[in-house]
Amino acid sequence: MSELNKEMVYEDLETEHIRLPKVYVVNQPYIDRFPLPEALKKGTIFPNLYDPYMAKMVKNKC
Amino acid sequence: MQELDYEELSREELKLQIQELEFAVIELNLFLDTHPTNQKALMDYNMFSIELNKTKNVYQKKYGPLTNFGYALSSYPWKWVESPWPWEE
Repeated sequence: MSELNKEMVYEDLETEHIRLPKVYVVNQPYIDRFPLPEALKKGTIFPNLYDPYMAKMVKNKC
Repeated sequence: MQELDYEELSREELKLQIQELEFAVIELNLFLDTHPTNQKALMDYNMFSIELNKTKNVYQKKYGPLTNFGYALSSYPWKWVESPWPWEE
């Protein structure tokens, strides 16, 4: 995209009061560890990151 | 972490122990990349690294090198070509 085009896009956003998307992550505290055999099976050593996909849970949300 | 006598473990048990410890240090490595001043995580990383080295040393003493290219010593005769390789049953 040329400099001229960029300026036009940002001006349009400003007049429309539309914000650009922002990404953030929450700081992960070091609280606990899974026992090592369990960690290897679960794919993470951190209980606060363990969040496996369950088809059942998705169904309930729909 | 319980204190295991690695000398008592079978080859399969030792390999599993090494896998578990390697996974733990990778996880802590990644955590420390973004939290370099977390002392508890750093202590755990160092503790698991020491245990990993111990298990690898016991394995290599009993069953031969885990890696080639100069990362492990070999007794005579050249051990790398002696079956089984680390990834074999």
